[in-house]
Amino acid sequence: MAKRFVLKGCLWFDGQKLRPKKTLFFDAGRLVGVDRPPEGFQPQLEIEASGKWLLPALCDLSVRLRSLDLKELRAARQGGILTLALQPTSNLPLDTPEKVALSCLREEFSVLPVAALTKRYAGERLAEIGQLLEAGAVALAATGNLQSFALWRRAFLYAATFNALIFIRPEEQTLGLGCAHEGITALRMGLPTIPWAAETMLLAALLELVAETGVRVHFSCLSCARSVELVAQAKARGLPVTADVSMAHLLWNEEVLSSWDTRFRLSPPLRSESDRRTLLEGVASGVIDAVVSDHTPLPLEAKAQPFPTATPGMASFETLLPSLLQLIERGELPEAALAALNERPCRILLGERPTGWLLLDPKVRWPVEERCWKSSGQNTPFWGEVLRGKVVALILPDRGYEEIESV
Amino acid sequence: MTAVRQTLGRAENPERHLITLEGKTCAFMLDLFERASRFEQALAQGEVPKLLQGRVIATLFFESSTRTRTSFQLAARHLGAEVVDFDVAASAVVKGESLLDTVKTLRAMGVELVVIRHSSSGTPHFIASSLGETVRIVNAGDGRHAHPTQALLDLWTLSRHIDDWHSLKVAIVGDLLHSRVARSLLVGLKIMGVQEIRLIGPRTLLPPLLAEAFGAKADTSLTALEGVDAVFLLRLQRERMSSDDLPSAREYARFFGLTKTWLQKIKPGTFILHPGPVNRGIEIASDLVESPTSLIWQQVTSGIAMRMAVLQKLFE
Repeated sequence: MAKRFVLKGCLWFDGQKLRPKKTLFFDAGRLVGVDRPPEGFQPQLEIEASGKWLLPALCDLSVRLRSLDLKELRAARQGGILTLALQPTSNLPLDTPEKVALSCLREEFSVLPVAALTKRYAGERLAEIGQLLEAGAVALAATGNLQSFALWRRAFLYAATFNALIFIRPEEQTLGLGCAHEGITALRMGLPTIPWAAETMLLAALLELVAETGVRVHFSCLSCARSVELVAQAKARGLPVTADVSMAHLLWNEEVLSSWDTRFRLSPPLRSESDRRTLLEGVASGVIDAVVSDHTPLPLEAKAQPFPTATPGMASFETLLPSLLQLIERGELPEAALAALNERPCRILLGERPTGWLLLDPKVRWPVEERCWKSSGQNTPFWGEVLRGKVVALILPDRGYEEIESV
Repeated sequence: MTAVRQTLGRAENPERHLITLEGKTCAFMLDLFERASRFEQALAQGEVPKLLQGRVIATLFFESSTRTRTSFQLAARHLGAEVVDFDVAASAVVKGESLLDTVKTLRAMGVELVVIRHSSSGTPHFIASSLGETVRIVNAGDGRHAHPTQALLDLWTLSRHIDDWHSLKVAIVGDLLHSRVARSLLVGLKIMGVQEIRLIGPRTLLPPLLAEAFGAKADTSLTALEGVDAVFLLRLQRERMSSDDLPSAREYARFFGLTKTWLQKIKPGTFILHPGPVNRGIEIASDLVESPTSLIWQQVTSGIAMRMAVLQKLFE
């Protein structure tokens, strides 16, 4: 591990573009010079990095674990993710100061707990928000299950007292009882469905409350074209709103369900091709600020079910970056979209730029199988396939250059 | 347990199972019609060949059903097969591994074909993807997805009264959204070459995209029955009658129930079909059930012969 080193010949992502063949100087793990070293710079190591990409380390805004597990953190690191927002779930409600404090990790690798807005994440009573934030929660989170709009409004006002950020996965609970998008595929297959209005009607209603209360809200894992429109309008009005989309919703649409493959059982569901394209456009234009993994590792039994009863979720830490590469290669996203994985989410979550870096080899092929996979969840449609693009090294603040073992 | 296979669709060899009519051909359908006709004759003459002597078949019904289950059991017995009946209580939801374990247990006892009915769409696909290489699966109804043998017997019944499928105008009335019979019928009708299909029901039970998914037209009134040669009436389930989908059974009967008045308005010789059991006075007026153009009782009696045809074909 070298604290002071030079990277030669790599492509460097400056937030907008990949700038070619740069020589980059690092000290104590921080970038201190581009093409020109600072005065008196004596490197401990010179690394030949031609063909590789230097990117700010990834910041993942949505991770759902059943318990805080070192295995999953290693999987995140392997994927180039150095900061992750741990979302509450019914298994891990993160609704008491003790639970929040135990989930906090702030070293060169950060796990930032997002606490539940309501007790037991159940949508009935407000959680002790002030104390949760004090204990280390970086934000609060809710799904569409709050009991009433009166409770939503009170929750918004109370959270605004602490200038807290609220993550919301908008899905109106009485409309969200199906397992697939209400579109041609699921209607043909006879799967219980969730109409797109389940997401957009709650999103629209909550935007009114944002306008009225001024609370900062981040809408997470959007799935509809109409949601992109609503967020764009809200931003144009000057509302303190940000949004993200999960990588799966950029890669696939409802048609993949016709194979009955439960690895595509997701919440929110995969929607139409036109929804997918609008989500991609949203990322490209910046209306959608971030792309998340929504990493949800599940045991085999959870997916070994008929489709409607399978647990929703995908293991996606390690496929996040290769997937983005795929989308850029196919021309579905511009190079600048790389910022949706690091700069933009980091700014939302922490109000600062990412402090670590990763070195990516965009050409190396690796098989998605047991020996290369760190997560305990194998619930990915990429299982058994060969992906292109792997993180070969991390540059950690204060610690420096650290290679990731190759396969 | 091994990791979920890459493409579940590949694991099920379509010839070993009858899970859905999707992907089947007109030749497949006609072949089953032909076999069913022969079995019907054999049954009438009391001379059924024991083609499945020594074979063991199980019925595994997670949703209660006397008619379909009995129909399959009789079909199997007529052919000389041994029948094992596993009647799991409807309230005991058997999921995932336990579902597979149940089928594996049957297989270990020598069962070679399982007739399964379950409330989750995709259950037979799920079982076939893990165990399909060693046990044959017949879908007797999975959630809203499919009920292929019902559609087969319905279409076979109709086939004996019509000349040409292409010029046929067909309507399906009722709760399309929740109906596996309707979905299988729609697939089957398209395979036979029917061009014009009209779906009729209230919007709560008939999303327009559903019609589009099957290349049919959606309508919200029985006036759309005009000019139709055959109408399939779907059974209105009790739980649907007083749900948010419909205010009452009376309201459904008033606006979507087939009565003599409607028939007179639209076309005299229209065939009437209903998969049964019939809710007299709701989907259909009582006096129409036995009317000259009603094929309902023929449907009831054709079930056994068609299921014999299916069993014979899967064991070949």
